[in-house]
Amino acid sequence: MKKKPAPLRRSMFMRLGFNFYDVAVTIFCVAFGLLCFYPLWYCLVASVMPYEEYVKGGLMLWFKGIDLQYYIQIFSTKVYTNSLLVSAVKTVLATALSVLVTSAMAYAVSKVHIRGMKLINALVVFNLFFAGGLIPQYMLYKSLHLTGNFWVMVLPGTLNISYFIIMRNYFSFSVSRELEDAAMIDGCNEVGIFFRIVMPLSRGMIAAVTLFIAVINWNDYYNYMMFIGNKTKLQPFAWVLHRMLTDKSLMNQVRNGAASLGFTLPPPMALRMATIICATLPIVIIYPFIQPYFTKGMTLGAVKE
Amino acid sequence: MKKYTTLLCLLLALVMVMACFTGCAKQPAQSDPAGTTEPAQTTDTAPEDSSTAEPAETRETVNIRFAQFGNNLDDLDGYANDPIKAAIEQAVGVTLEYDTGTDGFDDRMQTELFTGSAPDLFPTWGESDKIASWVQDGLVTNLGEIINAEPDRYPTLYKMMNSEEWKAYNKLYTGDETASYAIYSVAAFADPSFGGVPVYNQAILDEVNEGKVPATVDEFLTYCEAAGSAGYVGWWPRNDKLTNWNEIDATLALPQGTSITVPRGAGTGTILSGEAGTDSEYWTVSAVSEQSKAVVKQLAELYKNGGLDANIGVKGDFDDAYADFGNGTLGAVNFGFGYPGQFRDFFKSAWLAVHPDASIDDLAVGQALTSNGSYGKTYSTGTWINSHYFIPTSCAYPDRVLDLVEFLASNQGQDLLHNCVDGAFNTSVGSDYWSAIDGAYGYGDGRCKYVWFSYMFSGVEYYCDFENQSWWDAVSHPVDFSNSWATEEDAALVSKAKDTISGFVNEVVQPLPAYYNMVALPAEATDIINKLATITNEYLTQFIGGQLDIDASWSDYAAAYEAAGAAELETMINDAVATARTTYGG
Repeated sequence: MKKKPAPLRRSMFMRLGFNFYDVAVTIFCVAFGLLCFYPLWYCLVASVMPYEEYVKGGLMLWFKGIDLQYYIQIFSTKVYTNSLLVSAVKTVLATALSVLVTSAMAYAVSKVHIRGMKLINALVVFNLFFAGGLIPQYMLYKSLHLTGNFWVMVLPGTLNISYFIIMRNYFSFSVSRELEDAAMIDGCNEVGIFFRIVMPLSRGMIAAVTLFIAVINWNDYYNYMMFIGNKTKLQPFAWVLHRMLTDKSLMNQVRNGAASLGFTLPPPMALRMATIICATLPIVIIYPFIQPYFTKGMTLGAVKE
Repeated sequence: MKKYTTLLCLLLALVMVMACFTGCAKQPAQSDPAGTTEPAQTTDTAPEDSSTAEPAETRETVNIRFAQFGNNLDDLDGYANDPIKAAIEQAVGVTLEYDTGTDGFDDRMQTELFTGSAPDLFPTWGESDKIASWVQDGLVTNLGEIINAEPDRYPTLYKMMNSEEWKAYNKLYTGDETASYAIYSVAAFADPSFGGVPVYNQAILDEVNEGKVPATVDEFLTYCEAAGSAGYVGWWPRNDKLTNWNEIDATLALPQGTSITVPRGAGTGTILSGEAGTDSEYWTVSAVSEQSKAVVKQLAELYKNGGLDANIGVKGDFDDAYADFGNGTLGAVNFGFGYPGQFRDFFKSAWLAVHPDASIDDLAVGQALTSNGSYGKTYSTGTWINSHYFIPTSCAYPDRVLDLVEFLASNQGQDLLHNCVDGAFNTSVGSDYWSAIDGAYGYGDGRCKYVWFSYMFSGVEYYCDFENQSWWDAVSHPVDFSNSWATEEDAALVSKAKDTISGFVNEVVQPLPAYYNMVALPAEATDIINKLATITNEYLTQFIGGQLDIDASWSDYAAAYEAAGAAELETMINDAVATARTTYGG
């Protein structure tokens, strides 16, 4: 007589619908998420912590009092407010132009049946792998009167080649040709099709690309450093943040400014933390508004029928 | 299709070749220097037309763009209303436009130089190969030619450039002692200075060491251990991210006749035998010697019992360690490289910031330690090479730029740069040329002296008397006026450091002959030094932290040093010293 097999023992997790794999993945993801999140959290806590608490050291997990003096000191310094404005304008302009130009060009080049588009595509992609180098670049900008000019932070990135390739492929494979034909029959021209049919259909992808390009522009200071260099009024905030971390003169300026406002001389570390928060916050605030499109954009085209 | 592909490949190749040619294209020698910024008020007068007899006030006003590393132009109102800038402009008959930067500054300067857009007067650090290549490519102006042609117009510069020491630098950089392509900036301290001296928290000293500042290595070790036993951390030796073994070296190893730091040249990580300046001088790499082993054992012992900060190599100097010191948990820190002004800055940022009612007596400046009655020796020529300033060949009026340099080198110019007292020009120095000045640009940054042109002649921003001294005497014995205009509290802090240091500095600092400034190691030495630095960081950290047994693994450390080329480096150092002695020693 055959022995009846013992009933499978089910753990509480399994009875609740979890398995070991889910638990392991969840723990890993939460731990990884915390690892990524903690440095930012540390910056936030240290930037509002009263100095007498800060110097006690130890692990900073929660606020031990709130002191906004470092933010007051930062925003009392003209360089900060001006650079925030420059960064905001530069980011909005550069992102808008970049998304418009890159998507328009990607759409045009995705029409491979039009003569010459493959050549244009090859020329654009060529630039992804080969560049002339700094000196030809400098000479080009100089002859275009871009050096020392605000627009050098906006125009050179107008065509983003990496996103051009992504957009071109998206337009080629994910936007229905029949819809474009239908619009054409209804009297729409190519520009109309692009703005009224293709762009709305690609909203998810455009939103994702816009976010990425905006982050790139917000964080960029290279063009300022190399091609402007000495015009204080044009400093982007990313450059000011970089200076706060590496250049003593700006730090001294803020500290002396604080002293003239009646604060005790603030410690450099807390000021640095407050600056990092100021630099990160705008993008962190924008992110939730774009996230629904972002998620949609990432999954669009994932399933082929 | 294949035809088009071939055509495309050819086209792309052509683009690449064109790009290469564009990048390599040489610039016309006399292009517009201010093309990238505000339009310059150019003069129609070509340099060769400038008359030697023409007085400065009748020359047409030109715009000079001047670049200096490490300043800022954040204070736009200060820049627009800068009275010292205005005074210089008035005296020389020019308008000045300042340019500056930190990160990327050197790259930008070089890019601008290669594209014919460089500032009319710009600096670089004294790398001889860079200077030689710029000269060879015709990118920088031979200043000697212009100055020697008009000695009456440039009397101070003429005197400087025709001194033997200046000519030695010409020879070093270009091989030709008559070719002056730069205004050389040489740095020297105005006051005695010494690194490796800790600052002590007096309250902790009182508690664990009967208030006594340690004077010998043994007393220092005893104090550190006592502080550790009392629940404090005894000593933070200033070694942020393992970048600075020199401070530990100066405090503990040098007094014991050895050096544990990375050998980088004569006097750094090497010990002298024989007499400096003679054929008998010889520098020995001593990082893996038995004496160094004994010092590392002392450090490991300190680390184990809390005498040495457990976060050495991890903590940040200025943030974490200074915060600990301010918080009263750290007994002693090495505060810098021994400039008296650094004690003032340390007191204010690390102590006064946390204790608004602090007194100057809260901290004690330490002594250089002795061992068996001997001080450790710090070798120095007293001077070192700093940034040098160039006029590019793209500058349309180098003679006018030299007018500016001549003025700044004069005592009037030096007074203007270095004697601004709380925003007003210091008339007590004796000049009655300048009217009262009501706000010196750059004062808000903690410095009263003028921040622009401050490195041009003296790499440490001090006054040089070129009119009454030879060039070398002036740059090697600069004058520091800063304590005369400092606040009473600041002056007291600097005086406290100076007084303490002056008690032993002559015992510690051993001067080296000036030819040591000309010692140039071969390029291969850099590779060896980098390898040795990695080995030192790796082994010393583990020895001190207890991860490696010192007795068992010291031979591995020594073997790693030998394999990385320590012996070859020692030979290179001594050969380079001998070459400098033979070439420039006379």
